Amino acid sequence: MADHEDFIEEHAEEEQKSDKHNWGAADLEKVTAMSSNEDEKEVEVLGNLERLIEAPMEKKATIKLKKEDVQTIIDELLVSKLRAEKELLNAEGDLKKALRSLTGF
Amino acid sequence: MSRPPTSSNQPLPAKELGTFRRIVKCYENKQFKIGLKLCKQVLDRKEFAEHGETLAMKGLILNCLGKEAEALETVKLGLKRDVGSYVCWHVYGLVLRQGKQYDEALKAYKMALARDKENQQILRDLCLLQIQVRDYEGYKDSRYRLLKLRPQIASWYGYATAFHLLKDYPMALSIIDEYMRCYPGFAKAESKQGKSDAFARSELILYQNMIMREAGQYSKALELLEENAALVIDRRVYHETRGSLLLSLGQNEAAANVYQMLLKRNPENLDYYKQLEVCMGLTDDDIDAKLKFYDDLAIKFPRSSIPRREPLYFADAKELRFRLLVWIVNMLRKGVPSLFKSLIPLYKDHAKVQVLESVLKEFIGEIDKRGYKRACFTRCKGKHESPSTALWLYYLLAQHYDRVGNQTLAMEYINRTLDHTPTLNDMYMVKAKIEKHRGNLLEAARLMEEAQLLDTADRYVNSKCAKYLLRAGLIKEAEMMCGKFTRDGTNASINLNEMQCMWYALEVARAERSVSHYGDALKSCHQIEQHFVNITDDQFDFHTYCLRKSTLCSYINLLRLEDRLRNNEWYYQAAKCAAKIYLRMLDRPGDIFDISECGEEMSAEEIKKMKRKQAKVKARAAEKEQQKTKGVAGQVEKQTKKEEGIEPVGINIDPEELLKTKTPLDEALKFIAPVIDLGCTHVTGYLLGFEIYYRKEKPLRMLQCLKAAQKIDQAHPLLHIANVKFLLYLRNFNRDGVVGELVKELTEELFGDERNPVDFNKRYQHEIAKDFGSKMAVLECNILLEPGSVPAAKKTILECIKDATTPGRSLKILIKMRDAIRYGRFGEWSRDEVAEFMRVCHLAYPYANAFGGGAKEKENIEASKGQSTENGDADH
Repeated sequence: MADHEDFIEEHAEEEQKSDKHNWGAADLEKVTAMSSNEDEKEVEVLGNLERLIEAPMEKKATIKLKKEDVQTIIDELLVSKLRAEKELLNAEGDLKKALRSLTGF
Repeated sequence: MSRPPTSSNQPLPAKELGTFRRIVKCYENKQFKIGLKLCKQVLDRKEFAEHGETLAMKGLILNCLGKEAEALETVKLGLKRDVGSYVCWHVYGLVLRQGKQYDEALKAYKMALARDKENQQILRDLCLLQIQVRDYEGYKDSRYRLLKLRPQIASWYGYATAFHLLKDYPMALSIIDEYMRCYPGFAKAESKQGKSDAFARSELILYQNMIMREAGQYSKALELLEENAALVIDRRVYHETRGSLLLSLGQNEAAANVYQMLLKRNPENLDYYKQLEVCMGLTDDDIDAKLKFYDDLAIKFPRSSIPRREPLYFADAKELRFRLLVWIVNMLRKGVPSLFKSLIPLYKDHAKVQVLESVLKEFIGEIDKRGYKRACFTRCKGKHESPSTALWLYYLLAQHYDRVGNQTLAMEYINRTLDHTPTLNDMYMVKAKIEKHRGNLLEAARLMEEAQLLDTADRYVNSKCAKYLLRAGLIKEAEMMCGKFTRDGTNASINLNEMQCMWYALEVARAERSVSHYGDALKSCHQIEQHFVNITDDQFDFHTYCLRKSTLCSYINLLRLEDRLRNNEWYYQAAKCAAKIYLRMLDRPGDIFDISECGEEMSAEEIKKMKRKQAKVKARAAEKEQQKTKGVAGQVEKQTKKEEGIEPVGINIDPEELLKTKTPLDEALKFIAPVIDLGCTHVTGYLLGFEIYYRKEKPLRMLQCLKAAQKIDQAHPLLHIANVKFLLYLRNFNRDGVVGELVKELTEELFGDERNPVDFNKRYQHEIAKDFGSKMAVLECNILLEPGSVPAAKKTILECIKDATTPGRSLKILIKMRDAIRYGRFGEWSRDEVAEFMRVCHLAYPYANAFGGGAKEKENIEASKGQSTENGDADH
């Protein structure tokens, strides 16, 4: 099983650049031109949506998580990596705070 | 996948391309055999032998045919041959998803999408998986892309739910607004569209309302709800929502009107009464006002039982007496078997129990004085009760005395019912229950069988009977009993597992455990676990279905239910049972692997006696069963052969394999971790967690369990033991860094200054340990702190058992003590010492099978009735 994981990761790296680029909303605008029965109305609708969406998307702040902190949470509390990262993120990178909140204190 | 493989690096010529398309068609139409043949056609040609997409399709089809391993290999091979193809990546993702490797599947889907950005099918599969693993952020992004590609109703709904689940209420609401704005016909009643649209509209309005309520926008929610009143099809939900909104907004009078109206629709909904109480501003202290409130409603709804029953639970003793008289007399005259059930809440309060008992005594006095043909509870001249009233009164008294722990009197009354009417199965069921409560499980099972024979068409009695058989350790017989109601032709256990029947699996697990068949017990626990896995997997169907059918409120509620699924009581019980067995594997490996030696510390004579009794009940059941099965035997054989092809999950778990695990702690943790994470309400759940983390040396997790347990019951005996264990553990704890620091901090928060385990134990002993359970906990801690205290502990244990006035001494707890002693938690006990323990317990509970009493001894005990009846009467 382990080898297919590596396999994906290998290719994931290779693809990452273009992937990231394509994932964003900018590229999708072109997509909207795609045919549909009620073209015009939908284009207008989606234009509105875009406006709705922009604000929350920009807000994301970045917090750097230390790898060894994540590992400590995993080792001490036996939780998944995903959960450990999420808790650490909520605690703004403060290991002690994250451990505390995970133990319900 | 219906589009041609554009991203492939291995283009096929026209003819093969045609074949490939046919393969895809075959897969979609589930013509797997033909599909495989077509794959072979392409792959057999030398130049296409390594055609990636064909290999992928072959793998996908193999996967559908249940050949998972081969499928994965083939798909991987195909992917290696053609890494640039979205088909290969998509198929790889699908196969991984089937194998429940969700993280990997997500990656594969994303790779596929990178190669074909507008492929809606892949996007939809990605969405499904993201919501299934609750990756809300990712789900939101994918939903956005899907909406842009395909702005149809389900896409809009999906996008709105994404924001709702992220708790971004304003966005979720604007999306719904936007949708209603774009399709104005949808929001208006005069739209010409058909019935289904009307329903979708109604659901959307309610969904919008749900988001607003969660966002705290009550007044806007109310306004919109009333504005759209005519469009909401589900009238009950409309009124209930409106009532709760009015109440949230403090418009109590208007809310009261709504609930009054709802009560007219359904006067048996307790929730309406409770809400109405809130509307009227009635508090729990205001008993007179509450009584009047319910009395008024009782006049208004003469046929409803709630306004007559509820006052019983809060009225004070004096008021209660009069109301109980009316309530009980009415129910007795009608002959309502569930009368006792309605009285159960009274048993929380000792004063109320006294009132109830005096009322019952008055009735029985009247009957005893005048004979049941002439007695009249209401003292009306010239009137008398019908003969059946007396029967139901005896029945009620039996249940009452059983409840307060006086099984001797309970037996007396239940026997009077049987003298009165020997053909009513309710009576036998209660008699069985009384026997069960005094520990005579074999006799209880026998009585239940009698009850079952009186009405063989009643599945409730049948199930009860199976349960009692399991309690008596008669596992095979219980299976046969259940077989009377399961589908013909299959084994009852298999059928019940398919039906996800959890009570049965749990009782089997406990029964197997009590006879030291730990593998079989674990198997049952794993079966229950498997049901929960299946329930989680079943969600997949709803992600698409609910969006398509617009049932969004229910959908969101379903997702929330699934998030807390393992908070369910059955899961907890199964987890508890399994975790205990896994802990035993570590603590007492001899019990698990060498069955001949373990467990039975009963004398040979006792074993023989026990077996004889079991054999008797067995023989009776087998005899009955034989006549039945003869007829269907032939049929059964045919059926089982036919069904061999389909193998239900869970039934194939191998008990032996389960016992061979090298990591029992991890297995135990798999069961217990969700219980702890979801905040279960049982102290024991956390303490089992503590035991596991203690052995894994994870101090932070131990502290978490202790804290959570403390919140529920600070004085719990098991918590005390865990606390002492933890303080002992700290003696040798010296870790630096953040973790070490935090452990010290949290310990201080939890224990204050008292961190010496010896003092801690002493304080508990003096301040809290008054009842049997906590006294035993102190002894166990004494032994942990000073192994030399075993002889003293033994002495105290026996004294506590002998003393009938020890509060909290019960049959249940003595059986737990027996198991704890066998487990070695109270040091080493010699054979004679165990025999003495059993003898003392037997004297306290002469009917309990667990201590060698029971059916056979009945006559002896009856003979020496003078002394022994006093035993059960501690309360009187």
